[in-house]
Amino acid sequence: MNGFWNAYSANVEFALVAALFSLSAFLGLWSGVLSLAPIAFACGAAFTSARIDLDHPGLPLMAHLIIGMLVGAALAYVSSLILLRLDSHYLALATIATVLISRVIVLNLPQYTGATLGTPVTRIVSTWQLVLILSIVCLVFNSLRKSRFGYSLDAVREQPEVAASIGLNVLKIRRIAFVLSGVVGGLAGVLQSQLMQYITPDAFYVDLAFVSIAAAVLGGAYIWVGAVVGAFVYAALPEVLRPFLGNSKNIANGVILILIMVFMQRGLIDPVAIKRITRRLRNSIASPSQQRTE
Amino acid sequence: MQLLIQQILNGVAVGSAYGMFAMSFGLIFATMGILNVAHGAIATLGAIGALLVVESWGFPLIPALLVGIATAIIIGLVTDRLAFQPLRARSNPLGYLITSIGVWIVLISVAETLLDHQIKTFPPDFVSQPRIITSWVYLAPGQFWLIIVGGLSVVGLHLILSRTTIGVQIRAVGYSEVWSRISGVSSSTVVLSTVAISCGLAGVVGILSSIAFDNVAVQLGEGLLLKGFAAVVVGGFGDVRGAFAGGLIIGVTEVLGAQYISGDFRDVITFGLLILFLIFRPQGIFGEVKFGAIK
Repeated sequence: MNGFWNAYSANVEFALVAALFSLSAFLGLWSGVLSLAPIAFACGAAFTSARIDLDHPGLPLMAHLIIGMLVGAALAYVSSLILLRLDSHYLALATIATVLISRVIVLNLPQYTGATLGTPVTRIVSTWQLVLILSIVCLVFNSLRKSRFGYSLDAVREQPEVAASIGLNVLKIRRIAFVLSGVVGGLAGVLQSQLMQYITPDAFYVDLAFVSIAAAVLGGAYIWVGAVVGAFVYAALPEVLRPFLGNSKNIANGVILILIMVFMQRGLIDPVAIKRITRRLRNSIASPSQQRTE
Repeated sequence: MQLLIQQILNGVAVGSAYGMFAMSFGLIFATMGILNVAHGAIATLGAIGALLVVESWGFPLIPALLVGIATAIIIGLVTDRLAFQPLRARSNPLGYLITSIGVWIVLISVAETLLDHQIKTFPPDFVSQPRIITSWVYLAPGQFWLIIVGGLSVVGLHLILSRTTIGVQIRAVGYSEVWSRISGVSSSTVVLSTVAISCGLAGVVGILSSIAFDNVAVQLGEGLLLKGFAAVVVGGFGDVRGAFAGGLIIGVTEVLGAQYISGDFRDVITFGLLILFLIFRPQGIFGEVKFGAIK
């Protein structure tokens, strides 16, 4: 066990943060919006936190996390004013553009971000704190799911027109979800920067955005557990496959993503399928004869 | 004045590359509703295909170009068959996007393996003619061919789409797959020819721009994808002429912006334009032509 931990502690830590990233992407999907923008908010949060750390060293972790979440939320709110005016495909495209622009901004503010040279970050977060943070976020997501807000998100995602006709304010609900995704994204950004200990403009770019959204969909984009599971699977796969595939592990990643989209379009964790299976199990235990006649 | 003309020409050359890529990317999107993020990698692989035969067997320009185009078309058809075809029965634009991310990861890895994680170039003077040098302007052969082929391809593609049967069928499927099938259009033929035209063109762009910008690398395709995507948004999805003009606008603005405002702000201008258009005129400058998707 100790040997395993020594070999894979860095992977586990990155997987914990990757779970936060894919949770932030999941929040967009939950409100029916394909958004890659949380990565841009993470970028803003990470560079702000890194800058503050350079100017005022020794701030506690909590302060950095709060700064990250606030910056993420503020960026998300401002960009939601523009982005959420758009629809489906165009919205997705504009969020990709947001990520591209965030990199350009970072490159053009050398006095704050170090531009291409990047910014060093002091790591103050420990592994158990990462676990704790992810658990808290998961608890929040879980209570959201059964809340009035969670149900409205489901409605907005499945049928925005119907949701609007029963008096839900679709735009407002999407905006809240967008800002929340900024909060989670900002949190993930700060933690990611601490793990990397050195951030450059490329640290928060389209590839991270694609991987986050891919992990959320791979795990199952209909429940938050899916995002977490997806992130872990995505982090573990290259390591598991390394002995068999060597350096072509990325190819395996891509192939698995395609296979999942082709054969299990609703992802690994699908609440509908789980409900169906448990109902069948319960039925067969309760009345085996009836089950047979069906 | 001389500098201005020179920079506009440079911008037109870069813009032709963006414009050609935008046409090929936009054609897939307009006809099949696939926002294919792997399209840049297809352009890169086309360039790599040409580079490999040049390096190994010393192919001259035209045969190498054909090999590169064939590579791009084959890869495009195979990925379409394996990855996108199974999704076509269910209508899920999100599924297409995620699948294309998967394809993108695979193709990028293949390209990096083939390139041995290096940035390669075509042999110097692989294309040496015609080089245009006057007291006024300088145009490298790569740039020259980008402009010429760009102009030819926009005219050619427009003629194909507007005058030939297959072109009309492609547009019909883009408008409404169901209604075009009712009128007897075979959508599988349309899909095959759309993918072939689009990926072939991507291959051409990949090869010509890797000659003009003197590098064959994964970043080449990524750059084309981002700028081509911006060009499609600026010019509009509906019409290839719009997409090409969008590419020219982006190319010229970018080069002039870098010259007269600041080199660092090159991408700010491009993506600023992109955001402005998405907000105020998401149908592009050249107006709306309704597009739909095969469902």
